[in-house]
Amino acid sequence: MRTRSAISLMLIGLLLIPLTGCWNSRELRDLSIIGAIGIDKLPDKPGYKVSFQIINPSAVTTTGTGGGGGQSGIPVTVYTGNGRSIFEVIRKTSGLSPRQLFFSHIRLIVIGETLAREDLSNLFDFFERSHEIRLTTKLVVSRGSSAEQLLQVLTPLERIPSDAIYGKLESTKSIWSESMITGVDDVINRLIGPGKQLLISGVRILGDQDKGGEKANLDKTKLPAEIEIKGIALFKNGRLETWLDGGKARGALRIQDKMNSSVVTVPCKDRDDPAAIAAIEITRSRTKVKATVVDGEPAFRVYVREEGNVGEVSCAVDLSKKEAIEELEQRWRSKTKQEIREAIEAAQSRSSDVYGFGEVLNRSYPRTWKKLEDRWSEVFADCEIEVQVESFIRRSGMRTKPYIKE
Amino acid sequence: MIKRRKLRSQTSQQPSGNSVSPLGTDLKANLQRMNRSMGHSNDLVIREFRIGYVQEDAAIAFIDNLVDKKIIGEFVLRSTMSGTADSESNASERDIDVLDTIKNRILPLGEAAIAKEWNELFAAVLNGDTAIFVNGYAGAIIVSTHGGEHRSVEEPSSEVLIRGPKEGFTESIATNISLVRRRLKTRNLWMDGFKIGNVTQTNVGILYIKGIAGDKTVEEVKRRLASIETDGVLESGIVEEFIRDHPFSLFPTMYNTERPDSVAAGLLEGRVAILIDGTPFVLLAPTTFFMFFQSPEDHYHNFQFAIFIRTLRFVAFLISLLGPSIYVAAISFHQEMIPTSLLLSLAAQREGVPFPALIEAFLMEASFEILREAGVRMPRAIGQAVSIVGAIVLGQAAVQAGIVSSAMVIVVSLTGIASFTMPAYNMGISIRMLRFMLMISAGLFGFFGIALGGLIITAHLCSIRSFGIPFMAPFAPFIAADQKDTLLRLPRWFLNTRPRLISQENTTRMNGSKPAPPGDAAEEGSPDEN
Repeated sequence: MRTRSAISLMLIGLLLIPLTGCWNSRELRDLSIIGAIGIDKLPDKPGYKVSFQIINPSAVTTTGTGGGGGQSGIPVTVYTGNGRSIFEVIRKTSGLSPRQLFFSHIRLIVIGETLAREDLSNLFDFFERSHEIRLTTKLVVSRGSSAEQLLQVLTPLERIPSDAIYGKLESTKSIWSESMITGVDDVINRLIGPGKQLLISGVRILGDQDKGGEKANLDKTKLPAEIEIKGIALFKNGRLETWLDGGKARGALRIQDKMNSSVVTVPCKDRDDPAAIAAIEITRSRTKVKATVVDGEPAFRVYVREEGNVGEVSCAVDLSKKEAIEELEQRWRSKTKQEIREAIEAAQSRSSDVYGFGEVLNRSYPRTWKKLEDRWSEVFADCEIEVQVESFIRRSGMRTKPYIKE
Repeated sequence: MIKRRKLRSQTSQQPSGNSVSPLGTDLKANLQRMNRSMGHSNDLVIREFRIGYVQEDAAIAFIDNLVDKKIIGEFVLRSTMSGTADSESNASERDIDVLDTIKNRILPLGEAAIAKEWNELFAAVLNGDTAIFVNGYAGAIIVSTHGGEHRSVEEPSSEVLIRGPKEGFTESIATNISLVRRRLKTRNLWMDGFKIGNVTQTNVGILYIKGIAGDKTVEEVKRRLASIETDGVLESGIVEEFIRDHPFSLFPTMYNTERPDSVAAGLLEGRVAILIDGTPFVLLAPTTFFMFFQSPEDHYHNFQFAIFIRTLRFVAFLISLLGPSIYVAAISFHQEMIPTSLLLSLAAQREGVPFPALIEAFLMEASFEILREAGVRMPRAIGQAVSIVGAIVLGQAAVQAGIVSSAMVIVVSLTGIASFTMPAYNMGISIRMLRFMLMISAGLFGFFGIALGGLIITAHLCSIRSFGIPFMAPFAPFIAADQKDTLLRLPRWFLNTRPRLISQENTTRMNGSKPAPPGDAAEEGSPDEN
């Protein structure tokens, strides 16, 4: 009895060897860890030009006492290949890379502007299909340069450029709110969602594009080439239509209730003096979008409730007085309203419902939505959208009256 | 092992050689026979004298160094030699057995008996007793004169506590029993004695509290002890191997301790203690898996700290069992699970390492085990120095030479340190061995292999028993009441029951009630406050 069970146990153990699906044990030193992928359009023929930003571990970590100390200090290497499909290029690049490309740690996918202006709605199948790539990988559009060029720019502090770009995205999103973070999963959801269009943040190179890839880029205090997060790309049917910048971008975030914190500058007092301003820090902002249908015509109301603190004042205004605060709140309110209006206008003029008004309608009036679904783009362009803003200033900082005298 | 077997075959005739044979009446013949039987050993002391009371020739025989000579001189020789032949009583008591008279009226000693038979006599004499022969009487008086050299009660070296009694068991079973008895002053603390080992005739005692320990368990322990057939028992480990359940299991199914307080606590829970002469390690049965994670100190410190420490111990257990295998699996199969920056730093470290992760792990683990073993066997004076030098050479230098990565050194040393947190050394041994098996399966199959290994270990643990009690109790089977003192250690006033499976009939401990201000206590009417 005992021997029989022991034998059967051993047989079961033997069966396991062919059962192991993930048998492919890979040593770390046989892997090229990729930090970012860039995808550009080939200039004259169909297909993609794909760039891989490969991280050089021993140049990135400060205490790499392993044998590879003598290598060049450049933290990343960029390999580029051409092909009809992304997958094809990946395998093709093996001729360039001494190690197998490893995609699980991709932070960023950069899409070249020229490709974005053409059509990217069919681009994402590979990212969804591959088991190595995470769906939460973030997407950005390279603004004014190719993705390949952008990936080549070296960055200080964060030695890995993809990490640097990601860090910039995170920090500007949370304290300036003029850009948003979009993952591959978000993009796919939006592409298949009802009437929803894409919004993807833009990234551009400031300065000399060609110098960005040189090691000298890290040896200067003022960098010859820098990467900046700038604007939000507005898409229609997978095609980049326009860029939302500044107030418009902020308005776009407000409509989607994605505002974290930002600083709004409003004129202080009544004078038209451009130097007399008050800067208000937004500490809390909540947005609700409501749909109504009148005579079969949908209309929307965007309701914003925001709170903030006064952060800076450059004119003599006594903030201990209720009237002064109310006046500031009034100005702030109209500024917010204006930003939102601009953002809506930008979308309506391109008849691209990037903010998801269609989904609000679908949720509240599914029958109306069914009727309008097919021609939603045109309907949306003419929709009545009302904006209501409530603004509250809660604190005025460490003092009420500024030292500035009239 | 082989040696022992040989020994048995040589000596197996010996016990039958001096089988049941009564003593003769002739003093000279008896003494001669005794001397001959023991091969005229030098330490057999035979002293002939004349008993004053009956004016009869007599002799005492004892083994030098096993006896307390003061007792022999003061109480055996002096009392028997003194006195003169009292004619009156002589006449009346001539016919009565002189041996009885001496035993009953003359010897002022606590323990005395009369042996009529040689085997009995030898057993007693070799145990440190003294035999008194009287000419003309077939029999000898055996008086207890145990003595000789013993290690005194010292702090146990294998189980160190910060707070708690500093006494440890010694090699003398008598001392050990007294250490336990002193802690449990109840007439219900019962003891049974055995002699195990055909040659060694080792005294083995079992201790249990009648009414708390399960009768079946006691019977089972006795049955298993009685069935041991061996030449010699030199340590409790030998007894353990004979009587334990699942002798092929890697896990110890019996608990051993050097601490009388641990034994007392075990007895109070209804376990049976097995004490063996010649070793300070006392066995406790039945044993459960979670006993090995508990230190007596858990009950001596406050309960919050005890819960913290126990949690820590379980974490350390998992680290020491799985540490290297998780590292190997993650680094060679599941790179996507490691956070990017950590992966990059690991990749940088492994850049120059010539071995695959599994080989590297084996190399380091093996050298750590060598260091550990060397540290134990080394003469104490140089042991520490050697292990420090070994650690520096193997750790620092190997990393600098690029043979192993520093992350591996960290993993291995963390594993090593974590394995020292086990209060019981023998559980640590099984973890050390299982760690290597898990490393292999992790190196072959990744996390799948670890899960598989873990499954096999868990299934095995759930299938074994110790003296009828499931090894994984109170988790498999789940017993809610026993959770109070397993992973957690609740305050004392909550611990009002004994482990249910172990003390089956009498599980109420009645631990008293929660400390409260005097007024409240009076209201609750708790008799044993403090």
